[in-house]
Amino acid sequence: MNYVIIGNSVAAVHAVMGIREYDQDNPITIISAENYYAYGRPLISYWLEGRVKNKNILYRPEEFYKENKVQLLLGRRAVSINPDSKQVELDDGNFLSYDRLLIATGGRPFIPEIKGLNPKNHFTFMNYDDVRKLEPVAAPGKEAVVIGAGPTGLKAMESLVKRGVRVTLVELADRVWSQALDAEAASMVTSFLQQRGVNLYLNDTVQSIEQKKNDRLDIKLNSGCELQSDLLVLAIGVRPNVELLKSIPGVNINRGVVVGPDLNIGLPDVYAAGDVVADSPPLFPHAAVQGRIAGRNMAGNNDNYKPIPPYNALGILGLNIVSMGNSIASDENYELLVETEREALIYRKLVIKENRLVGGLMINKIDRAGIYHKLIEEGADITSIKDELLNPNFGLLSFPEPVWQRQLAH
Amino acid sequence: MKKVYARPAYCMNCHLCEVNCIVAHSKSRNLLKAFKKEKLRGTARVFVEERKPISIAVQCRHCNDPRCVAGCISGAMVKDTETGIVYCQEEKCVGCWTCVVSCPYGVIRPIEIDGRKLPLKCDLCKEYEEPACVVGCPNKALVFEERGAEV
Amino acid sequence: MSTFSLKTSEFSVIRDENKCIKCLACVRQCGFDCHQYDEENDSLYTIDANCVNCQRCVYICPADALKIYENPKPMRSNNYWSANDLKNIYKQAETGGVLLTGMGNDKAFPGYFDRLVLNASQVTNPSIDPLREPMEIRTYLGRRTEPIALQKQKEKDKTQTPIVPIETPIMFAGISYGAISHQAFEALARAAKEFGTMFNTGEGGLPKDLYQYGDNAIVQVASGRFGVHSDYLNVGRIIEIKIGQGAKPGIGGHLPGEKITEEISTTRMIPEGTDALSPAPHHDIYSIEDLRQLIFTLKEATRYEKPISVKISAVHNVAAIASGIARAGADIIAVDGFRGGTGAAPLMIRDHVGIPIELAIAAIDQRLRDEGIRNSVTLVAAGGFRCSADVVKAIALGADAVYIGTAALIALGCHLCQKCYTGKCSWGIATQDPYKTRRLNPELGAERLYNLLRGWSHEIKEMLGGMGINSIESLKGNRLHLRGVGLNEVELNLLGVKHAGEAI
Ligand SMILES: Cc1cc2nc3c(=O)[nH]c(=O)nc-3n(C[C@H](O)[C@H](O)[C@H](O)COP(=O)(O)OP(=O)(O)OC[C@H]3O[C@@H](n4cnc5c(N)ncnc54)[C@H](O)[C@@H]3O)c2cc1C
Ligand code: SF4
Ligand code: SF4
Ligand code: SF4
Repeated sequence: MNYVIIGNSVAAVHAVMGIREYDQDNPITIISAENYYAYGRPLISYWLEGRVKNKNILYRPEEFYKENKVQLLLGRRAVSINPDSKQVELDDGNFLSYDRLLIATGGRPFIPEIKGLNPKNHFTFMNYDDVRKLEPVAAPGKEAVVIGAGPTGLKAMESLVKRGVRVTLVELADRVWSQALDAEAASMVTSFLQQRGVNLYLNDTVQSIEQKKNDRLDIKLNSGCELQSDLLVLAIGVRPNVELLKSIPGVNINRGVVVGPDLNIGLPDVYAAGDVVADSPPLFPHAAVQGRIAGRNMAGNNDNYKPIPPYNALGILGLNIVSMGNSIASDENYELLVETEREALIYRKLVIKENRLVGGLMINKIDRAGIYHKLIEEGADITSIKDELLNPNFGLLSFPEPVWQRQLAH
Repeated sequence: MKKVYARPAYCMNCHLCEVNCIVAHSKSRNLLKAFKKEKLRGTARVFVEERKPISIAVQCRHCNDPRCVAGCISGAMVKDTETGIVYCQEEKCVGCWTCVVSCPYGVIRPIEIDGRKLPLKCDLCKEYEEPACVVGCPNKALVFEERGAEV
Repeated sequence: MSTFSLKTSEFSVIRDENKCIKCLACVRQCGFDCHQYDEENDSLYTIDANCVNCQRCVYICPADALKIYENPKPMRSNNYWSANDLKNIYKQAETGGVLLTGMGNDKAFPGYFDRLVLNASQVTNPSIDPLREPMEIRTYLGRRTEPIALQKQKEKDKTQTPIVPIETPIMFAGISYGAISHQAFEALARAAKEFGTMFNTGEGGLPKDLYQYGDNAIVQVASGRFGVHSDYLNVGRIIEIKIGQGAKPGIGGHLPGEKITEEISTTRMIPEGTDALSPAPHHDIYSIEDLRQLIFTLKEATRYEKPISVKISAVHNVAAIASGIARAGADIIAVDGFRGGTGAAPLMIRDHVGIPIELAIAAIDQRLRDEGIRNSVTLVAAGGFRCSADVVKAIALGADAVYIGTAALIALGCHLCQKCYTGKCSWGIATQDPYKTRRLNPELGAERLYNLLRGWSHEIKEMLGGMGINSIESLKGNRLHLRGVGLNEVELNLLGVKHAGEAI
């Protein structure tokens, strides 16, 4: 038995652990395009800030690979897959045979067509290498424009601000982080950011870029505004890395690769996990859970992935935001429980539909938020505990006794 | 694995488990210093929930498939393969609170101590022989025992 | 607004702010709402007037930050009027009610146990080391059979009830489920079973889930007949007819409706929430003959398988009454002295009615001996046994065994605040409030009670050994082992002991 994993990030690491739960011996090979041991991808902004040093960016200690008998091919890229011969072709021309294969290739930044844009005059915010390149130029007093005020853009903005860079955020939607924040929360976040000196352009995006002689950039926005800046960061979304799978019969691509509940992609012994998977939120926990299950299944187990509602915890400049499920809902099809303390920058909202919790959004008061997420995931009827949900004492005891007794017995 | 189990019939809502947990995880390991000097009030890794007349001490269940570990973006949260203890390597943690939202029991406490954000959770007092909450519970409402595989 | 009152706080609760960590354990544990937390200011304060000095907060405070002091007398000193007298008058002037209290008589009546001393062997009659040599403290309860006649074998007496052995001459006194929590009740039952002695149900019946302890139960039949039915009588090992109680001779009982929870109502067989009233007399007992009827009714109902005990309080002519009880067919006489505890009694009755148990034991033992019927009954004494020496002295005075009630509750945490009648007991003992009863884990309670029995039993063995005897039987009524200190002629006579310094 010979396991091969393409990609070396969170999904891959958890797949290794999943395999090793059932198979301690057979060799695992990981093909890693990036020249690093797996690191916490979201940590790149903390690294740029200087809060995380080189060693701590590693997701697992270096010994992880040795201890788990993993052969790691660093800086190697898989260029094709042959499901018939069960081989993976590498960019150095070699072939690797597999008995079980995991596609854990994640995603890459989406780069739109923009007049004047070239690889030299912008940065992406996805890889360790991205921030290593940014570090020398993101010096105090410099000016930066970040396109995209989603979680990645916001994290890029935060780390730049912390480095003393003056940041302008440009967002196409009518509010920041529009996938997660409703109008109320977004306005709280916006004024919070503006108080910290962040410029914000909403309903706008970049039209063209022009490199000046002094190395400065002239950035024209759709609205006609012109911004001058020292650097430009693009953070407007990710696209799954599915190129290896395109045009393989039996494999369906719907932006990401379509998988069954066992995470098999429709080819014998080939599985996928993480951001590369279709219809799965490109989020860390989801990649980890899928990786684990795919790993177990590769080692012969029969585990199913039950979709986990998206959730994200984001800290920006001291503001703690948590979103889960459908957190933006605000129309009359939903029942909303809301608690706001604007001065204290506290916001808590739960979204209920047909007596089930379907979403939640919290700012700066997130205690026991995991219970809400579990409720969303389970889709349980919450009629009997609705009045308790935002109560300060909300907890296990809010549930009927048989429920909490069972929970305690775990 | 051996875990801490609550026996609600005997929990008397004294919250001493919280106090003992705090002291056990203080630098000084001294009650007065932990509260007065280190200012650790409110940092217990066990949550006594109350709803009169019932109260229960809830803490990490050290899940088989810990969601907090899956969710942790820095790799700080881990499950020890030998002991099964789920704990946070605080020096690695970046305080993003993903674990707080991941835990289905809501037993990770997001706390800021001296400007540093830390997710406080039960580590089964791995540096001690027995969990402090269990040792100090005046009514044996907490027990530390092996109850076999979970369902 | 609270109305103006002449009553002042008896205690001051002092919190050492340098130690207090604001964990709020005191606030959560006080049964009398003395400790308060002001969330807005994050500060703690006390309402001293509420403090009953039950010490729960002192015990629970992890920082040892609390002390309770008795306040100075709220009056100039007076050798006749006590602060308590004033307090009671003020209270009654406000309420017009009867003063109620809990636990036993706490008045400074001279105690005889404290003026009796025990003997020990020296040189001529060597003492015995209980760790090296067998020492028998097993005690038998019930009517002894007639001495074996040398002539022809007598026909077996069909009305003879069995003898019940207990591993130590100490039993738990009747404390009803209702007066105390299920948890406390269960702790007594478990400890009795584990140690091999008896607990007494008191007058509130036996909850079904504790039938497993029936072999160690003395089931009471009292004037209210609460919880008395065939299963109950048959599950117990001994049946006790309760005529009186040391803390309140001559009066009945009253358990307020708030304490009659669903479970208690089921056990007692009365409607939930109604007051449980035990009449002062049994309405079917107005003479020794009536008592005999009840004794034999119960024996018949249980096929002569259960010894019958009759419990009375120690009153002036207790010896004659005891003799009558023995003759009425009782197998055991339980006599409860004026220090005996209670869950609720009128203060005047508790403190002023009845006689000391020491005198009652001596008088009963003597009377039964004089009448030649001492062996036909077991004499169990109760009422204020504080330590194993009290037990040894009681046995030397003539008791076969003792009941401990207050001491057992103290082992469970009771601090004698005497507020049992309020149902607010902070220690989870004399309360039915489910928030408080859970403080008493019966496992732990049983363990503590077991330990107490073990410790006392061991001490009893040591005292016996010291006296050079190796069996509790040899101590029974052996007043030569006792001497009085500072007792007058009448007292010495009544107790049947010599004064210290007098030789045999
Ligand atoms: C700045 C930033 C912040 C984030 N913050 C959060 C957050 O707070 N919370 C959260 O839940 N999620 C966050 N995410 C998303 C999270 O990082 C991803 O969901 C997660 O990393 C996905 O893991 P993965 O293993 O599927 O793929 P990836 O992490 O994308 O890793 C895929 C790896 O495969 C490699 N690869 C691709 N193709 C090949 C090939 N052909 N051959 C060899 N190797 C290949 C890639 O180079 C890459 O190293 C953040 C992402 C970014 C960029
Ligand atoms: S110490 Fe024990 S009794 Fe007290 S709150 Fe904690 S679990 Fe309950
Ligand atoms: S913190 Fe929560 S998710 Fe993590 S192991 Fe404990 S109970 Fe499970
Ligand atoms: S086991 Fe230790 S860390 Fe866990 S709750 Fe108890 S005292 Fe706290």
